[in-house]
Amino acid sequence: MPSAIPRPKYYQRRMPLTWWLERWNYTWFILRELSSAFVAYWVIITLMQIAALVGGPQSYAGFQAWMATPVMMVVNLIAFIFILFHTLSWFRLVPQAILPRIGGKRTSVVVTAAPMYVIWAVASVVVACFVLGVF
Amino acid sequence: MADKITLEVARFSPERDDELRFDSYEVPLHENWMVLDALNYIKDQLDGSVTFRWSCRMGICGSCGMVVNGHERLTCETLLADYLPGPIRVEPLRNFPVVRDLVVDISDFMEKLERVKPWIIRKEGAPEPEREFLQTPEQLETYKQYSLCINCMLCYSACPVYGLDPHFIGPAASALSLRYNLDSRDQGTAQRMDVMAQHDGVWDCTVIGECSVVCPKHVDPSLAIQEYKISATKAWFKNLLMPWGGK
Amino acid sequence: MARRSAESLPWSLFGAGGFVVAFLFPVHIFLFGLAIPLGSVSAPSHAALLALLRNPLTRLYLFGFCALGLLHAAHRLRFTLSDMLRLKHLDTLLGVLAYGAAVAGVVVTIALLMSVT
Repeated sequence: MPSAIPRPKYYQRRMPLTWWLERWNYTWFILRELSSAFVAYWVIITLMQIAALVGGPQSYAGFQAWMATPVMMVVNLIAFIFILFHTLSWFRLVPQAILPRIGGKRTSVVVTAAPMYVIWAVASVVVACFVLGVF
Repeated sequence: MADKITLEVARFSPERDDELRFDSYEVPLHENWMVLDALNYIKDQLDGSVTFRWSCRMGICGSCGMVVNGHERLTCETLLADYLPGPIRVEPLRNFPVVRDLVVDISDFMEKLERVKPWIIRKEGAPEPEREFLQTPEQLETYKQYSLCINCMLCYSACPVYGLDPHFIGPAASALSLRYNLDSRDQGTAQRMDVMAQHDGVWDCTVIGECSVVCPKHVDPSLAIQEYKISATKAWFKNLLMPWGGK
Repeated sequence: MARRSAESLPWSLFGAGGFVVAFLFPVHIFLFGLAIPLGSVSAPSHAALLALLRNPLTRLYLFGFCALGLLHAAHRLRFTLSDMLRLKHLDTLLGVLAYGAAVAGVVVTIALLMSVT
């Protein structure tokens, strides 16, 4: 139907470029999502580590010395904090969406998140044992 | 306790304004007064031109949603006294076009609501039931939470994704769509999935979660959308691996 | 009727990657990025790590670790940039850049893991 009736103008607010600073939850969300940049960063570091290992003992020693520089230590600390943020938020949000109900009843976040922490702990110990040569 | 509190009410008159402006009104502070009571006091006693929607005054009609001090609220269940010493800033819902003062144009939401088919769908040619459908308490419980939505649109106001991309189907419509999929009497899941699994359906959601925070009925639309993504993905892979299997 | 979106594919890879990152990335960063450089634990020798890397299972593990991590990051960065910087209209371009970079990274990962002798 053609709009025959003239309509008065409306006011439409446009999202400001800094919308994610308007509320804590929005800022929190952006920080959570930015963890992905550190995921990419760590994959690159891992690839460099593999290349250094393949390159021989000297190149690996160089990689280790580089990782021990203060700049890299700080970057790695920041990356670690962001990745932890990812892990905690992921455990809270995702398993509940996968298993939203048991027998009609809503699953509580505690029930869906708890097994994640167990798996996380076991996986971390296993990886650490392999890396540190316990196995 | 103070005996007065100031409200800063957003005003917009299409004839003369290009932006929202704010008018301040001092209202008596009664212990049990809600923000809506204060707005009605302003309209009755101070300025009859202030325009806003309201109806039931008991948190069920979903008409009086506004942004109070930066957060979406049903004004009929928001105590003035919680905002002492004031002032209280009252704005129209975000992301919707403002028609006048605190009244927004909700036609976009109405169109989306209809698009997701929030009613019971029976298969073409399914036999007419001879009596009412029976449903166990468990079957009721499965969808009950999502059925509590009152279409107040606070979630749309709180959703930055909807603000950035008005094509996004949005929180409440998703929750209500899923509510019917989960209903044991319904057979319309595939039809709704055709709508929800489109590009403008659930995929734009980035799980900011503010919709679920502001929901006055604890519907958790954010969770509904993630459930939908998982179902859509299962259906997509099924269709990829068994294209002959139909929907 | 409009078609259902193929968004399920990148989204499921994002989801799988999200679990890999959540379960495995913290211990990797903690060990190789903090504990070993700080000397809090004794650093494994080059020979020990190379022996570990020669095991095909380790390389399969590292392939999943890197590939799913990259695809997870690409998907999330695509949406984050689009939301944060209001770039919804550039969604196609962002998608091509993000997934393109991730796929390139996966190819590099495969090449690197194949080069281990």
